[in-house]
Amino acid sequence: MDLARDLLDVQLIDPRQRPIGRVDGILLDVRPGQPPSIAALEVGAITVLRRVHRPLARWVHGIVLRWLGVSWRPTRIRLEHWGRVGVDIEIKVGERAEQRLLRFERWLSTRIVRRLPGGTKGTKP
Amino acid sequence: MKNLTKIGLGILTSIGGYLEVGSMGTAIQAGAAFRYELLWAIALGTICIAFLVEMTGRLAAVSRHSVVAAVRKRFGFRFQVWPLLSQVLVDLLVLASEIGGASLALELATGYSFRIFVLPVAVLIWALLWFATFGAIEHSVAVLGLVTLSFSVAAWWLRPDWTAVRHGLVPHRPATDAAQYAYFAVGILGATISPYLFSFYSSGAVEEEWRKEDLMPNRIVAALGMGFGSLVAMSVMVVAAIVLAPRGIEGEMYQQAATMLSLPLGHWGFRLFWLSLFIGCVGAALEIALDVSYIVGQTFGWAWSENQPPGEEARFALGYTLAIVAATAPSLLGIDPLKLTMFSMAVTVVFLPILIGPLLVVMNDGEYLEEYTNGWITNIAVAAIVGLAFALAALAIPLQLMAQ
Amino acid sequence: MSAPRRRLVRVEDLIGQRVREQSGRVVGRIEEIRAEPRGDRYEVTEYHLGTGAMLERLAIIRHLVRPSDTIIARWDQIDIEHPDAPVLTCPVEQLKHEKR
Repeated sequence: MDLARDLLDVQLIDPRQRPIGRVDGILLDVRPGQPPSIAALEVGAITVLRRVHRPLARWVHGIVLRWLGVSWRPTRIRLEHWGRVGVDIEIKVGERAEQRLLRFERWLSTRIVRRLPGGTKGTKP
Repeated sequence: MKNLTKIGLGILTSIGGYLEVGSMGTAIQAGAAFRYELLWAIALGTICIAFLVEMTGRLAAVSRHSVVAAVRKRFGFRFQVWPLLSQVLVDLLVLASEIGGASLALELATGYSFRIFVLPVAVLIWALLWFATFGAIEHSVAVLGLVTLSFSVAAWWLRPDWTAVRHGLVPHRPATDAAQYAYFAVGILGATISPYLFSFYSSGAVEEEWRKEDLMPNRIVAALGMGFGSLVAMSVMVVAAIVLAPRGIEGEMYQQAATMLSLPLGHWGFRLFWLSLFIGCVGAALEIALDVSYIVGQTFGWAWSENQPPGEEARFALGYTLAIVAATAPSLLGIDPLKLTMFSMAVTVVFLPILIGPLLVVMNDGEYLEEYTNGWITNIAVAAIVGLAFALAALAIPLQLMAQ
Repeated sequence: MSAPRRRLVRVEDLIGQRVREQSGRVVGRIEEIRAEPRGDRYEVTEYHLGTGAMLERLAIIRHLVRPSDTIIARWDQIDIEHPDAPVLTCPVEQLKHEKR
């Protein structure tokens, strides 16, 4: 497969077939004397910001680290369980990766959205 | 039969949802100042948006991607971040205009300053998005929006000079005041070729799981929906030309301009005017706020669907919430809704090339569209109209700014 | 025996980077990296180099632009240990050329 065209920016889906993110970065394992191999896929705001402007990404990460005390580390995913769906490659992520990728969503949902009226209704007709 | 209902609904939604503060405001101003001479701008803009809407519907049906998702995948984030930021900016400005327009409608109705209505209008829009589903929103927009047909009724009743109308439908140079003429042309094109229209359409098509069988209905809805919708906008210009122009009433003189329906439609005319403005603006605001959520969610690959309750897709809900909050700022600060509208139309035109360019590239990519890629007529038509709009903007806006 | 040197390099840093030969002359930009499954890993097999990276990657007017040269390098012909400055490990003549 062609990494830039087929793997980068591709949709990720969770074990329940729902979209969960995109491949923001790909890490290669480089060992002397051996072909580089895909170590992991990376998903994260800093990873994707890095592609636009590396110094800005470093600066933002520094700010978040210093002021919010949070290490905004990206989520790493192994390339397994993938299949071609139409023009896309869809990659299924494992349970643990799913937890990490959805942590902001879950926080927002439990702390704020579900506390508001109408936030917890079942799937609407 | 089921297809026919779908097509009918699609066309109705397009007609009902066509008028909003941009198309109304620009049509009234242009009609009051230049009578029928700018009808061609509405026609040209409509041809372009019909092509764009058909394209994004086709993209959704064949590749199962919305525009934004296809652009990120095809070009990578490093490029796509720029169309994304541009579209969010344009969307926020137009959303701010719609909130201002709806507030202005309530000012016309009650006599109280539009500023006190800004927050209630914003809360209304937010609540509708929070509690309702995609289908419910679209159908109500369609049905309620039919109130704007009062302009068409009025235009027909006023018996316009059809020769002059025909003349206005052909692009031509004005007799006087070329700078303002071009400025209004830019405004009309920006109001008609609004990015959220085709972006939202493709998101909707993906939400409704269109497939290749929907390609022909898509074409019909795009052509007839936009076509009939544009007739309503032209009706606004015709009524303004007949009622306002001879009396020297300009578009900014709200109270007087709002009586333009009173001559043909009697004392209900005023009510229909502000109702049309209010419903048109709220309908558009719903779509634009959703569009912001859609394009951010699609860019980052999150689950995005208006059919899920907010608890299931908190980030999606956060998207339109933040958009609405941000969009209240200009009107709360007291910025005149019409000035805000004209400004956002101009900004829209300036960003059209970067928003439509990548789409044109994707539409010619066989990987996404298989054998349904664009014909050369479509490519040239869209590219030409966008080029024209951009050229007019480059000339007209500086001139207009100098004149003020 | 010391552990083999190992580096993590990002694909997104490599794409668009100019590849130079030992003398410093630019050979082309990395436009694509091809990988194949080998066992349970995906290994890089080739690098595709081109000239005006941006326009070609975007392939704006595929049919109108003259098909240009793509240079294909095997994985062992480019050293990517320093992704900001990839370097040829072989003479430039040994690279394959292909018309796209």
